[in-house]
Amino acid sequence: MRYLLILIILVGILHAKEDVKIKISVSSSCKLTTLDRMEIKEIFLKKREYLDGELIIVLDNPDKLVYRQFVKIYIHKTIREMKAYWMRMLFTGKTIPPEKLLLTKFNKDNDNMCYISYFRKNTKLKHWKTLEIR
Amino acid sequence: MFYPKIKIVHKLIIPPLSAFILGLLFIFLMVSEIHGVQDKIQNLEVNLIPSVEKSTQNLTQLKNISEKFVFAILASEIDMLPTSKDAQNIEENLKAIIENRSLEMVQYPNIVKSFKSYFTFAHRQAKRMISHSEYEASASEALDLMKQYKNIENDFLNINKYLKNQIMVNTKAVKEITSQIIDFTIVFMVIFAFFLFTVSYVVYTDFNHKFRILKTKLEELDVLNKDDNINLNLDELSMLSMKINHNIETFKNLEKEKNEIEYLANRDQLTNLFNRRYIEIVHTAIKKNQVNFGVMILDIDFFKRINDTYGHDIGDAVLVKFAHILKDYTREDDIVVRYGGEEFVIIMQNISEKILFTNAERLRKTIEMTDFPKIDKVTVSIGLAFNTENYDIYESIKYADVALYQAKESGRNKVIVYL
Repeated sequence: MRYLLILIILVGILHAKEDVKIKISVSSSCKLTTLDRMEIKEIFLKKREYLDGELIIVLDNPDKLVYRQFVKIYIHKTIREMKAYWMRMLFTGKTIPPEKLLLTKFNKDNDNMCYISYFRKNTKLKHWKTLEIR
Repeated sequence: MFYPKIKIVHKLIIPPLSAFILGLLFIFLMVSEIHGVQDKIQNLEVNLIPSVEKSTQNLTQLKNISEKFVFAILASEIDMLPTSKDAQNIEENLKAIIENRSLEMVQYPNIVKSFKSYFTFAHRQAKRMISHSEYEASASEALDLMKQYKNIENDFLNINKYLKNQIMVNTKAVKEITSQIIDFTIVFMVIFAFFLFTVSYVVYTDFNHKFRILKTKLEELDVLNKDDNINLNLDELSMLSMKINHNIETFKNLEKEKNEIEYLANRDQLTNLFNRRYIEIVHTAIKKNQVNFGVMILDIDFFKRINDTYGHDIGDAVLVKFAHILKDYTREDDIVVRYGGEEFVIIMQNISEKILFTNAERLRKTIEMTDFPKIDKVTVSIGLAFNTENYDIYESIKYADVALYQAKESGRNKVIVYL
């Protein structure tokens, strides 16, 4: 029993330490094919709304693990820093935080807008295309 | 006093008087302009500048409030949320700006209410986020919160901008009015100087002209010698004036005496009628102007007998009363002359033969009916003649005398016309 407990804890620790692979995708109606890291940061912090004349709508992934990994890799902030950022934006009337992505809803109501979000690398998506990161 | 001197004094008053009137006008205009400037400055000092300070404070405080919301949420501490006191400062500032009348409230009718609404909403959202550990508002609420903040911030910015703009407008107006005052003052000074110069020059020229005329006249009157060097200055004028006054007084006395002498020379002392000498003056005037006239020559009947019977005093009294009757029964323009002794001549200008005869007849009857002192009744014989072709009074008197002689010869107390 003691060994079993130790095993579970070790698996948990290993699982926690596991790095989630992230991919950035856009809805299939988007013209975008590639993005650099700076553009990703600007778009996801809503500092930039248009790219090549196309309105980009940011959606956050509801998976907290994925969100944390994305924020860490691409935005270079902690979750707390992100919260502070969005609260500041919200309470100073600049902008509101991105909505959470609801895939089921999204698949039904594809409205030809250009959406952008991030997913686990192995997630298979029907109406999305993965962007090449420069 | 010397009459022209008074006129000169009047004219000398014109330049300073005009300067005074113009000066008053200028001061009146300046006072109203300066009053305008004072109003603008007062508006700046009392209303606009404090309002801008308050408006700037509001912008800072609004940012502080939003920061407090963020910190409280991040710290998950409800106690750290901004209180109504923080909001109250902004509200008071807004009310003060409105009370100062610095703001056109038509543009921001509900600014205080809007701010209150924003604050309450933001506070509720922040509190909910803290108590439920939810750091994301729903999309619609977040959007509403953001919009409300944006609107309030925009309003605050616009108020600040508006007030600053008002300060600029007022400052510009003050500068413009000040500049106008300076320009106006310069223009006024130029006009004022030109006007004063012109008026002074005109007065001086006129004064000088009059002075020259005066000097010439005085030289003609021998009051001044041509060699006397009299210049146009007050001392000399004063001396000249004294000299003239003295001479004028003398002249007036002489004139009075002359008039008196002339009067006496042409009057009969007893009856105060004109004497024979005056006929010469009338003769000259009538001849010159060729006026039609009639001559009446009157002689008191048996006057020698009156003198002899009652004495010369009674005779003189009869003559005086007779003269009074003549004066009373003739027109003002008629010339009544004591021609000599008991003989009188009346010269009537612009008169017809008929009226002359009627008058003579009326006179004769009046005298006949008049009671004279002591002697009771007196009669008179009258001879009439009209002007000759050459308007010669002496000739007419001669003809009238012929008629008078006929009246005497034919029984006296009659009027006879020389034909």
